[in-house]
Parts: sequence; C-alpha cells; structure tokens
Amino acid sequence: MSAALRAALTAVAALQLVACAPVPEDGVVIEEAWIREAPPGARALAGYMQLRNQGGDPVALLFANSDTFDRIELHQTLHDDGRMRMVEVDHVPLPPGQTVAFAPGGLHLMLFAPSETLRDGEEVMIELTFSDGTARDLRFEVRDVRERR
Amino acid sequence: MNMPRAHLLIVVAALLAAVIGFLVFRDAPPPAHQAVTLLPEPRPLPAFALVDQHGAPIDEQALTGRWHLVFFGFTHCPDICPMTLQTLAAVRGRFDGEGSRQPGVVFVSIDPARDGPEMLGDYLAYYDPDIIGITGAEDAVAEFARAMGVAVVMGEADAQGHYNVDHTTAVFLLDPKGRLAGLFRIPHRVDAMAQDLGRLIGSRG
Ligand SMILES: [Cu+2]
Repeated sequence: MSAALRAALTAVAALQLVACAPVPEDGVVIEEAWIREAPPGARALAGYMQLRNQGGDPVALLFANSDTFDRIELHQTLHDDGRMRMVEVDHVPLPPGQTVAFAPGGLHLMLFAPSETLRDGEEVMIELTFSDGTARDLRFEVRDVRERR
Repeated sequence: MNMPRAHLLIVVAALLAAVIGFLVFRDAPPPAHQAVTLLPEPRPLPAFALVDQHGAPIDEQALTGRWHLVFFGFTHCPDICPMTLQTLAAVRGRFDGEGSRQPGVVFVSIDPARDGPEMLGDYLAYYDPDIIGITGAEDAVAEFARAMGVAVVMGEADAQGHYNVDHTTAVFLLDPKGRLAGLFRIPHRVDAMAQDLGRLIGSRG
C-alpha cells in the first residue's frame, strides 16, 4: 500500500470516527435539530429537536449553551384559558425508551440575543448538558418555515 | 323494457334514499364555519390613538373598508407569535389579487417598550410588508388591549432585563365597518380560516 493511499485511508477512518462519535448507542439520540429563522433584528429565537433516551436509566437535559447566543433557556409554551405564556423549566426529564419533542407551541430552546442574523441553511452549534454528566455538541440548522404566498 | 328484478330493486332503493335524503336535509342549516366564532351582533371597536410601524398616527378608522384579522403579540416571542403571523400572512395570501376582498392583517404589540415602530416594521416585513403594525405609548396600548378583552400579564424582568408577556392567543375578526365581528381561537389553521373568511366576505363584503 502506498504511503499516499495509507494516509487517505487513515483520514477517511478518522472522519468516520468523528461522524459516529456523537451518538452512543445506549445514550440520548437527538434528531431534527433546527432553529426557526427569525425576522432581522429579532432578539429571541426558538430551537427545536427530538431527544430519544435509548438507555435504561432516566436522564434529564439540564442546560444548553452556544457561542452564537448570549444565553439559552429551556422553555415551555403553555396555553390556558385562551392565553399563551412561556415559562422557563429547570430541566427536561428524558425517561428511558421515550422520545421527548421540542416542537413549535411546546418545549423549545429559548435562544437570546444572537450574535448575528441567522439565515436559512446556516448551522449553529449548541452544547447540551445532561444530568449524567455528559455534554454533547449538536448542530442546529436554521430553517425558514414561512408558508410561501 | 324488460329489467331484471334485482336491478329494479336497486333503482327503487336509490330513489327512496334520494327522497329520504331530501326530506331530512331540506331544513339543515347552511354548512357551519369551521374556525370562526361570530358574535351574535358585531360590536364597535374600542377607540384608540396609537402609532403604526412607520411612526404615523393610527386610530380605529384605519381598520375599515375591508375585513381585518387582529392579533396581539410581541416580537420577543419566538415560538407562538411567528406561527400566528405566518398563518395570518398565508391566509391573507389566499386573497391575493382580490382587491378590497383581501383581508388586512393587524399586529398590535403588547410590549411597546421594546417594540418601537422601527423594530416592529422590520419584524412584520419579514412575514408580509402589508401587515399593519400598531404600537404606541405603554398606557394607551394597555388600555386598548384591556378594552378588547385581551389579557396581558407583564412578567418580571430577570437579571438580563428579559421578561415575558403572557397574552391572549385569539385572533379578532373585524368587519369592513371596523366592528368586532368574531374571533378565531387556537389552533389557527390556514385552510379553515381562509375558507370561513371567503364565505363571510362573499356574503357581506
Ligand atoms: Cu420561550
């Protein structure tokens, strides 16, 4: 095997390692991570995702952090009696074997003061910290979900 | 004509079903609205003197001449408010090219301290530049919301000065005379709202 080929194969293997690393088989699997594109100048955005706890033990999502935002809170939108309010939740329990959805009109990451205007297709890294002491860097895609006229 | 007996029976049954159907449904009400709750009688809109997103004075007279959908919200609301604005812009879009039959959309900021005209203008233009934005002096906005029966609760500011505003999610419907004609409660769905509006506008526009 030539040195060049060996180097190329090593690089490919390294890439695969990176690609696979964030999803431990029995840990929390996170999918569909996205941020709602906001009007220019908006000071608060919302992030959504699906978390599935594949392990046998309960875990909780405790914090979220990102260089792109001043601050991130875990929020829940509540509807009662025709009124809407957002409340901060201390943590989000992830029972074993269950999927917890952060979705419009319910749980969301409340993303305060973006450092720049985020546009459709851009990606933002957000670090999630769990109660088992693990932390994960997750890629969120910014999406423009306006209904076209 | 020599029709087999079984065929004759089917024809007779079908005729019978048609007659019964006619008798049963003859007095049925017209198809009900799917999304709107109409008031028994339209009510005059409470008077207000506020400013639009261009900083120009606006009062209740501006909301006449076509049907309007009025929503109370604030721009620091990244979850529900965008969903509602998106829906209302899409509903309006269903009436593109229909002139004064096209309903107007009005967004009243219940957080005027943070939502000045410029902020409001940029925010609304993203969804539809024709949305009418309303803001103004804090007490005047609060008074208008109260008169509309909109529950507004200003949250406590945290260390960073951020606060939430709890608010009513209903969308108010104004008729072309600027009177409160009804409201749309959540969930707000484009198809159902557009269909109800089409019917209302068609009959009374
Ligand atoms: Cu929130």
